[in-house]
Amino acid sequence: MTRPRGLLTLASVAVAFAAADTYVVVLCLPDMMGSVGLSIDELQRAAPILSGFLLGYVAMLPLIGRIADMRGRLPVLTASLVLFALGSLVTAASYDLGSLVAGRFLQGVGGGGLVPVTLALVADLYPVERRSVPLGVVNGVQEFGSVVGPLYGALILAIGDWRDIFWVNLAVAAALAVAVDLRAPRTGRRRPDWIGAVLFLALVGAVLLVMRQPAGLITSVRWGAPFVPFGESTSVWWSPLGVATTVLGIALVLWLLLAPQAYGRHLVDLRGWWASTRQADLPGAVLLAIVLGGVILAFATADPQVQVFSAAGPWYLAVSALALVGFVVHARRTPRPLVPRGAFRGHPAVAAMIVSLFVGAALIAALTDIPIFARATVYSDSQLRAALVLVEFLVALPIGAVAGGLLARRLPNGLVAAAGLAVAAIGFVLMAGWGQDTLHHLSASAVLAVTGLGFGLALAPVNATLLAHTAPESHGVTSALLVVARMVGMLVGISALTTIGLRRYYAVEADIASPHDVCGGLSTRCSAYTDLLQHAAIEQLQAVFLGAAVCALIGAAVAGFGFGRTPRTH
Amino acid sequence: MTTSPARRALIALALAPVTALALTGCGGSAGDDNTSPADALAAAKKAMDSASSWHMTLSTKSQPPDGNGVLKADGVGTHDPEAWKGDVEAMIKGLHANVPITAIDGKVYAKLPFTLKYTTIEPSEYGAPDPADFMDPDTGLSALLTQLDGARKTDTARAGDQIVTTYAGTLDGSTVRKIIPSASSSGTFETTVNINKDHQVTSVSVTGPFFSGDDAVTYDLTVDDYGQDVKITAP
Repeated sequence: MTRPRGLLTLASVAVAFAAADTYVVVLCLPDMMGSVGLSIDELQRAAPILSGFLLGYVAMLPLIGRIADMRGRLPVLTASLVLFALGSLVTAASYDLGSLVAGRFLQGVGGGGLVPVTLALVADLYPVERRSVPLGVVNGVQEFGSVVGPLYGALILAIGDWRDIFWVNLAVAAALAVAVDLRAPRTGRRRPDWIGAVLFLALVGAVLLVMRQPAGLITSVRWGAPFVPFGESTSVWWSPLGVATTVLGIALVLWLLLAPQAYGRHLVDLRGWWASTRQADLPGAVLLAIVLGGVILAFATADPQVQVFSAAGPWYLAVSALALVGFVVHARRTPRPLVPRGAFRGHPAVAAMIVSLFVGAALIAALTDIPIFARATVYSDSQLRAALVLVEFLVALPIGAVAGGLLARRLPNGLVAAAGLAVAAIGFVLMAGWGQDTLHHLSASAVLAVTGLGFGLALAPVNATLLAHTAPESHGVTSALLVVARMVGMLVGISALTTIGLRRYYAVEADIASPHDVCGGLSTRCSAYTDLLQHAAIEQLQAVFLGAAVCALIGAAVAGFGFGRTPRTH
Repeated sequence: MTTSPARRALIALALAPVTALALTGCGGSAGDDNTSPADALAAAKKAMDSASSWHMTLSTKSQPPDGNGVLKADGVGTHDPEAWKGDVEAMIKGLHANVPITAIDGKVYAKLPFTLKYTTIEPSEYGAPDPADFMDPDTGLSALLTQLDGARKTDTARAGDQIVTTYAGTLDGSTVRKIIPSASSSGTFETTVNINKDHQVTSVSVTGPFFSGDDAVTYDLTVDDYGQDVKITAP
């Protein structure tokens, strides 16, 4: 292998980039909601913008490691980056909530593929005894990425709008994909697949035309006809151009499947990929995705004014439950399941996974709802300044992480993690009491910093507990699964906390008085009434913060009682 | 290497959508007649006023600079009684809010965010028009058509599957203010109107100083579903 370290560097940059993308949307969520027509009192419907990415990430993360073992690291790395780039394209060009979530999901699938491949690269390059440092570096860049993600978003928002974030993503991911692909060894000299390449470019162009509906073309007498939907339909895809795009997509797939080798190196070896995906426990990954997708839908379709679940909600959950049973049964039968049997033998290892889950749920509440809170109270005219409120939290998080690592050397892991999460819980309880102008005060910064510090403290002890109680040869898989647990916590947390928070708000508030009553019968708008509306918006966020505090407390309890005594290695 | 029929078929298959795309690009011709702009606009106004109902959307892509304003109104209006029902998307203190509105009998009922019931509001206090007034032949949307200054025929364009004729002119701020109250009354608003073969307005685009400051902002109005059987009642 040539220049393997360079490849690892590229892969690490890609991992940091994908991690940054998980949280990049938290800043512009209010504006993205507006762009797809969601109102501020429909927060629960916006949750899939975040959880769609997490779902793709979680479904792919365990699967990709296997595929990388079979197909080699480089092609999987390139493919993940290409998928990530395509997801960015769909997100940037999205025209409604469905297309936005589809784009985010595709981004997640690509992003989720990067981590296990990079970990596998480390295993290829370093002998067992020298792996811990580079593994730590990979974990480090991932954490670093999630911290700088919102700031990177803020940087672009300072000069553009939220779509620009994803156009930049597209460019960076495409550049990284090319850089990685250039390092791939070239076997033989075959003609490139020109027909495949032309079909692919035409498909991308057509998808962009259909999704963006350029005004200059659709109002043109000469060029607009193919954009007009058939009959009474309003779907942009059920039009001559939309159908042609679909046919183009099918043609590309058929070409890649059926075209003879004589036409040159295939653009994508679809048959080969499909074969390795099937060997890598695809049913397990699909079942897991159905479990989580059902949970997302159950909460996202709710109308919290009425109840926590929509009429279809219990059905989505039933499908989830069935898929979960299927997943467990499948894991017992298949020779190489997604989660290796016996990977979590010790109780503390299971406890670490559970803590991770609740940390994810509480963390995502902070990351999403603090900027929205800022927007609703003091920075209504600037999404950038609203986003920058998170800075104190984000800076404190890695400081806490380092401190947690140092403390865990002298004190039991369970104690450090429990203390950190208890501090975070207190932070959330304080946030739940924030009012209209709290963010103007220094005390708010202190609360944010302390909460971030608390979360940070818990990270290292949780990782250390997991590693101490799992077999060394499965550390790669179990570390990945710890990330998965946190992501699942985020994904369920963002959906459940918002919906339950909103439901709680409506249950307690029932209704605010009519403007006539509030404004003394003379007028239907007065500052008292506007304040009341704003207060209501704040209260739904306070309910979410309280939910996050409960999650952090549960995490603290599980860590405190479940981690046990850490076996000393020396 | 010779190209077998099977391979040729495969290439043809692969290229089929490209050909299909190229073919669908053709066709469509403008319906040209010689009515004067004033007559065409008057006929369009009559079509609006005589229809029992129509569906409309009024929207802007611009962000109000101070974080407050109407971004979109999407609803159906009827002439008898003069009423309007639909959703208004407003920006209130930088946050998007969808507000279901029913306007009838001089009252405006709104379901404000975070509330469960409709309450009556005085729209002018929210910087919004009473949408039932949109239907008034003298001061509503149709009145804009005949108050267009310097109306001239400019172009033909496409609105979905229809070919429309475009008329351009300017509107006074005082006229525009009746529809969007935040418009500057001293401003001049560049306006284009699209009218189809059945003398129906399909869309109107108005550009000018809608928000505070001199920045040009565009509001787009689309009108369709003329004469559907719609009954609007107070909630």
